[in-house]
Amino acid sequence: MAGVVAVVLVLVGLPLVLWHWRHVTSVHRYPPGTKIVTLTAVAKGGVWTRDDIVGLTYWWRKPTRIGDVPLNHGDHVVVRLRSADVLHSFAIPLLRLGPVDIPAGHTVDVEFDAKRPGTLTFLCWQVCSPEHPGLHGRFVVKGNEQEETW
Amino acid sequence: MVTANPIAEATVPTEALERPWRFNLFARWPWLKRLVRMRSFQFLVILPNLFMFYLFIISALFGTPVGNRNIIIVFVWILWWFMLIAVLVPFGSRIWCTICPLPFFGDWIQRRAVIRVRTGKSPGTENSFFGLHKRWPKRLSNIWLQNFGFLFLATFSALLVTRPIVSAAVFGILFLVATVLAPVFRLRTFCNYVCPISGFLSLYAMTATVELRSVDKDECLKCKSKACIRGSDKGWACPWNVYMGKLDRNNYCGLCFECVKSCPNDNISLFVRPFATSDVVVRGYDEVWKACIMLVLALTYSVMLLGPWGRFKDWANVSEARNWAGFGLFAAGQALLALVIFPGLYYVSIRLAKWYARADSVPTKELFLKYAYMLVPMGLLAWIAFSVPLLMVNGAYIISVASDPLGWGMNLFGTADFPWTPLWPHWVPFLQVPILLTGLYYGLRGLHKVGRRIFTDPAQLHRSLVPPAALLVGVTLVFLKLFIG
Amino acid sequence: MNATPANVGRAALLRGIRIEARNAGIYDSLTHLFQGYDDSVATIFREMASEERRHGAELERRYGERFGPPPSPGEEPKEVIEAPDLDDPEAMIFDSMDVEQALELGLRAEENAREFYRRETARTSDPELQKAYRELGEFEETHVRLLQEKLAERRGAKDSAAR
Repeated sequence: MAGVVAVVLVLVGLPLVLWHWRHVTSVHRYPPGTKIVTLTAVAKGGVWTRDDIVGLTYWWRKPTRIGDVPLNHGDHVVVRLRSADVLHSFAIPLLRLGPVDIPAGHTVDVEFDAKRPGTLTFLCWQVCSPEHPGLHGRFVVKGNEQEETW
Repeated sequence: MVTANPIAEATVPTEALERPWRFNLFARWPWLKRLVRMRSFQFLVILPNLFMFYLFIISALFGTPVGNRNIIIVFVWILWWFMLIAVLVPFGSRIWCTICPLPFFGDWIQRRAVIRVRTGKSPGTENSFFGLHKRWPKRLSNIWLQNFGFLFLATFSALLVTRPIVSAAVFGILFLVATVLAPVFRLRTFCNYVCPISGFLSLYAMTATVELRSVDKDECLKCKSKACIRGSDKGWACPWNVYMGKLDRNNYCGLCFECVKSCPNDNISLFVRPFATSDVVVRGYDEVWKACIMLVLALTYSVMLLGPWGRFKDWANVSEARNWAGFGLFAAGQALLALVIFPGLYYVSIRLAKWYARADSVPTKELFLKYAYMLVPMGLLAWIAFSVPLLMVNGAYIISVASDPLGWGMNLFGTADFPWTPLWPHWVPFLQVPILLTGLYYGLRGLHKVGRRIFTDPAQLHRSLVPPAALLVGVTLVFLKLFIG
Repeated sequence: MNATPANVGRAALLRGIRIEARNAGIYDSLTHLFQGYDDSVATIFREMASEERRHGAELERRYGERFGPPPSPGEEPKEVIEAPDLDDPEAMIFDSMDVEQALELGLRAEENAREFYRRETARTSDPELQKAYRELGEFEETHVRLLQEKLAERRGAKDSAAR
């Protein structure tokens, strides 16, 4: 009986622990109110995506190209950057942020504050594939139109 | 009054066999014997492996698709592979099979128990097994399936050892097959006839420095119960279908230690013995071809994974390079080399041996089977020579992946960002050369030992050794050229 | 027990009885091992077990005629003469056992026993022991002839089937 219990604990416990880390622990290490944006760079197709690119889906599912990422004025933003395949990098030229290397398979955190409303373009700074020019996106910071913009 | 036993103790005279030294580990370390006799022993050693295996599958499915950042690739194809071929097999025989999680659920279904023993009368055993107890087809009761299975996997090795999902698919399928076969066929049919890992373990276990054997063969001769193979209330029937009373080689003993538990005469022990000296009997063509396949694959793997020829890498890396013609050439070439060309060369060396030694009275089949032993230590050491740079160059990934097994951004031990650091890469050839030469030495030595059992005339013996020895030297030179230029 | 001629003969016969019983037990194990795996082989071993029991009963009868009922079995005989055994430890893995090999296995065991008793007959100078061994040897000779006939029959049947 003890053996059976041990096996069940392994089969049920391991996914639970991993889920907890992914959705609770890794989120709650940031101060409350932090806006966490996860972006994955995919060389195949030259795509920034918010999809979870994992072993099961990488080879057959086409990732959804990111649209505009809405932010609120005053947000403290943590961008969790991942590379699904090769060395990428990340930069927001307007903020003089980066380029920050994202080695293949790594997760790199980049933080900034959305101090003013406006549009912040981000892009991959590392020539990663023939589709490299497609690796760009926009943060759109919403706020009071009277305020100074980027 | 004289009490006397009027009848002398009688034993059937047994042939004095030429036997190297060995010492009894259970006698030297009684705690080890107590440990393996525990009913829970196997479960306790398999459980951590089951956990790891499960983690590998989850990582492959839900972790990063990048191979060197996913635990399944790094831990299986760098760490486990190296440990298996360079440490576990030469020093522990089939000790991997002791802790292998693949048949775990199949055994659970058959035994309806994870730890305890059930007695009963399932066909051929004194235990109660669940299932249909079907006999594996006689035509497949050999390692041919394993030979072709391993060759098939090797054809896709460039994908297997770099893509987490491919590794997960392969292990998942093996796991599923093992579980499905268990309620249909007897005992560990999967392990004996299907598992591709088992195939090469069976061959290279012959060189190992440990063996599980009966202490006194006469005790086995007198034993009525044959509990080692039939089981008892103390232990399950041998899952590998091996009879310990006459066991004289490691090939098919999976070191589950059930016989140690079930033997009513406490007559089974683990012995330490010298490397590549004891088991020298190659039994059938399936084993000869396994030796040829493994040796050829050590060569093709070295070319593909370690060599400087990008073209061959692209041919093998078909899912990225999409060069199907090249892949076809690679697959066909590898199969031809492993199944036809190299066995053909070996056959020619045997024919030459017969001719040169004027050994017309010795059947070609006998020489072909027996002299094939020389390929066993050579093959094992060639694989070790291939695996050493694999670990030295890529071993740093083990450190980083240990902290972030799924590539999710964890940092469990603070080493997630440990950079890729090849370990003394300039020393690799200095390690590979002595390893290869050691393989050559043991191959030639084994050849000589086997030859002595066939030829009584020293001159004839030595002439018979020349052609196969020349083949072995040729193989070594090819590897040396590949590794050191 | 004193080593008188009668006792020597008695001990030899008793030993023979116990060996037959032990070997019947071994054949029972081999029968069970192959049952459901290869029933034709299991049948051979079952027949051999019956033969061993029959011979054991015959020896008990002879013992009874001379010395009264044999004592209940004590410890297992230490001798390995006649003990049948699988030659091939991997026979079950490679499915390499057939009826002919089963018969050969039994034949080898019986021939070993016959040779043992013949050697002991020649070796010993004790007339009672010689008589006992000769009797046991002749006993084993009948086993050998029986198995040789079965083997010849089997091989003959195979040859005609092949033709």
